[in-house]
Formats: sequence, C-alpha cells, structure tokens
Amino acid sequence: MKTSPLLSVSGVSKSFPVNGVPFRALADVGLELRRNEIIAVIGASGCGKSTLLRCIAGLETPDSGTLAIAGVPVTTAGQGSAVVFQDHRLLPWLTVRGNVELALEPLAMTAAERQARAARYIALVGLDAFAESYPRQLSGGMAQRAAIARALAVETDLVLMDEPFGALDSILRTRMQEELLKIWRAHQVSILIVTHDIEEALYLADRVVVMRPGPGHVHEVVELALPRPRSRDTEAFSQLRGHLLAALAQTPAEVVA
Amino acid sequence: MAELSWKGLVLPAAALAAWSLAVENHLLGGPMAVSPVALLQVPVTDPDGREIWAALGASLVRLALGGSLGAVAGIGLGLALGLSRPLGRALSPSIDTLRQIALFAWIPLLTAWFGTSETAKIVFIALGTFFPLVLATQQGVRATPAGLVELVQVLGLSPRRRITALYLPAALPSIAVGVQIALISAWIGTVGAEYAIGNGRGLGAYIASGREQFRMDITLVGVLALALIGVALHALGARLIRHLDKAT
Repeated sequence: MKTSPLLSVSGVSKSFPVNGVPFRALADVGLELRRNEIIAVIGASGCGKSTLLRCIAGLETPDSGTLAIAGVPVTTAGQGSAVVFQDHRLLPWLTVRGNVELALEPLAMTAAERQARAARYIALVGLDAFAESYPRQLSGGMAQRAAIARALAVETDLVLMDEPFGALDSILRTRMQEELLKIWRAHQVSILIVTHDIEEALYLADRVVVMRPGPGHVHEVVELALPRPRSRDTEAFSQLRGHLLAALAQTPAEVVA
Repeated sequence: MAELSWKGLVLPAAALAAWSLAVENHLLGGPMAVSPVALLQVPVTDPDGREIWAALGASLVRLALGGSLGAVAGIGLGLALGLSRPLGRALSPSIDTLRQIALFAWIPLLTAWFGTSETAKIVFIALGTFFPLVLATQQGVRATPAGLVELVQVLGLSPRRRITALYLPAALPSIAVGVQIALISAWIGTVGAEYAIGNGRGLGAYIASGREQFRMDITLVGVLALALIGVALHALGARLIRHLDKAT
C-alpha cells in the first residue's frame, strides 16, 4: 500500500469546443504522484496544465483515460482532493472563520470540533487576528492564505493548487512558498501545484512535470535532487532552471521571474 | 433614489396654501369644496371618517398576507428557475407571457374563479409580488459567480447548503431590488383589489364608499393615506437595499 501512488493519471485526453472548433487540451496525459510528494506542473499557457488540474479535481470529465486518487476513480468534484484556486474564492458574506468552517461542514464532526479545527488552520496561516474579518477587509495575500487554510483544514491527502500565488507580488510569493513548505513538512500532504513560474517549481517540487501545447501533453518529468531548504542561487539550481527553460522552449524574456 | 428633504415639501405646501385660499374665498364652491384643515379632522372627528383606521388595518393585514404568499412563491420559483436551466427554459416563456398581463386585467379572471371573496383579493396581491420576485430571484441566482459555484462543488456541500450558503446570499441584492418593486406593486394591488372587487373593509373600500356618498373629504383622506403608505413602503425597500449594500 505504501508504495502505491496517491494519484494516478493515465491516458487522459480532453477536448472542448473553442468557437465551434474542437480544441485538444490534453492528449494521452499520464503522471503519478507519490504520497507526501510535491509535484509542480509547468508549461506555457494553452498546454493544458489547468485543464489537467480541473480533471483531477473532478471539475471536468476527461473524454478518455483514467484518474484515480488512492485507487478510487474520480467521479465527482472535490472527491479525495482539496483545491486552491488562483483567485481566493472566499464567499464575501462569510468571515474567514465562516469560510473555513463551511468547508468542514460535509465532514462528520460536531460543531465544536469544526470550530476548533478551523481555528487551528487559521492560526497555521497566521490569520488568527483576522478570523472575524470579511474577505473585502483582507489584502490579496491574506485572502489567499485564508483560501489555503480552507483547503488544508479538510485534511485530504491531496491538495491541488492552480497557480495559487500567481496574483501576488514577488516578495509575498516567496514568503508564501516558504510557508507552504513549512505546512507541507508538518502535515504530510501531497501537493500538485500548477504554475507558470519556473523558480516556484524549482523551489517547491520534488519533481517537475513539463507540459507542452498542441495538443497538451507531458513533455518531460524532471526529478529534482536538490536538498531542502533550497537556495535560489546555487549552481545546481540555475542549471536546472536552464534545463527547464529549454524544455519549455521559451525565450528567457518570456519567463516571469 | 431621492432622499426626503425639506425642498421636496415646497410644492405640496404651496399647493395646500393655494387650495386653502381658494376654498376660503369661495373660488372653489359646492359640495366638493373641502378645506385642508377640515380634511385633517375627518379621520378623528367624523364618525364615517373614523372608519379609516379599521380600513387601514384591514388593508395592511391583507398586504402582509398576500405579499408574503407571493414572496414565498416568487422567491421559491425564482430559485428553481435560476438553479435548473432545463426548468428555466421550460417555464420562463410561460411566466414571461403571464407577466405581460397588466395586474388589473387579472381582476375579471380572479372574480370569475373566486367571486368577490377575500381569496380573490389575497391572490391578486400575491400576483403583484410574485412576478417581480420570480424575475429578480432568477436573475440573482443566475448571476452567482461561476468560480464560487465551482468552489461549493469542490467542497462537496449538500444541495441545501449550496442554496443557503451560496445561491441565496449571492442573489440577495437582486432579491432586495425585487422586494422594493414588489412592495409597491403589492400595495397598489391591495387598494386596487379592495376598490375594484369591493365587498369588505379596507382602504380601497373606504375610498369607494366616500365617492359613492359624495364625501370628497373622505375620498381625499383615503387617497392621502394610500400615498403615504406607498411612500413608507418605498422607503422601507430602500432601507433594506442600503442595509444589504453595507453588509456585503
């Protein structure tokens, strides 16, 4: 059991019509995520990385192929995974606490347990002082932290993140990446993070899945044998950066640092 | 929405003064001439005029009853139409067609079905609130951000909680605008039903009997009360919207 992958994706294809013409977003995509592993999926826009995440989250149904989390095929949204979207998607009429507790409602627990667990995860992302604040009272970074607390509080083994820090400034993004690793180490979760930021992938992931468009497919899986904590200015780091840049076949000017 | 201010009172005050002067100087004459001062005494001193309080009470009870009935049905159906696209496609054309029937055109039908009973009036008032609220609720639910709909799917919330935690709060601003329109339309419906269907107490019946007895004072007092309640309901609706704007 220990060695079986937490997430297995194989032969997944997905097309949807764009202006009446079928667009092949994914063609025969396969990957596996081991327990307690972080995988970063990178690729240019249109390579299908977000569609892949949406399929795993059960928000899209693939045309063919299989998706299973802990051996159970994904048939409904949110089954076996928690999702952090690029935008925080907090309900504006609920406080931070209300938003986190809402995510816990489908779980079998008493109201007291729900409150205690929500409080614990709100504290974990450093928002204790803002538990009673409404989303409009939070900065972008704080709102995204609340969204991460909401996803982690459910305590699923698998957390899916769709460019979770994409809307944040670079200083905040770096700090959030450090915090995410801290939480990951403490909580034994597996994370699949979709990003267009090579540095982010190199800083966070155990393996980087490089996707290419036309139609979207896995081009290469790069194992990162870098010890943690990682420094962004080592020789190994910049070598891997160069390798991934080449794999993406992008010019450096196109890459957001 | 115009705020109430003293400037708005200038024109009515001038009209009142002109009216007073006209009656006192016999420019207006005959049994139809009533001075504003005499008018104000009607609901207090006149034995027939005092009926207005009971009439007002009856009208407001009817408004509350018919209004809540129409609101529950309207918000309920609006939710269903907003949530289920097949249902919306199947029912919306019929509802849009029925909505085109002017409110008062329902009266012949309703009296044919229910006679001049209380039921006819209540159903009429309910119709007045039903149509604006169906539309407002349906539009509000449809406008729920797609990202939040995905979120509650991913969270695995029960259908009941999706409605109470997402769709209803998301539709609330739109529903509030619907309520404001519905309040006025229900009030017009209340007095209109009483006036047109007759039979029984109420402000509409009060005005109708004033007219039949050639009591211009009673008729005018009734019309004035009708307008004041209308203004109050409009203000109530506006307050509701402001309150919601502040909350979200």
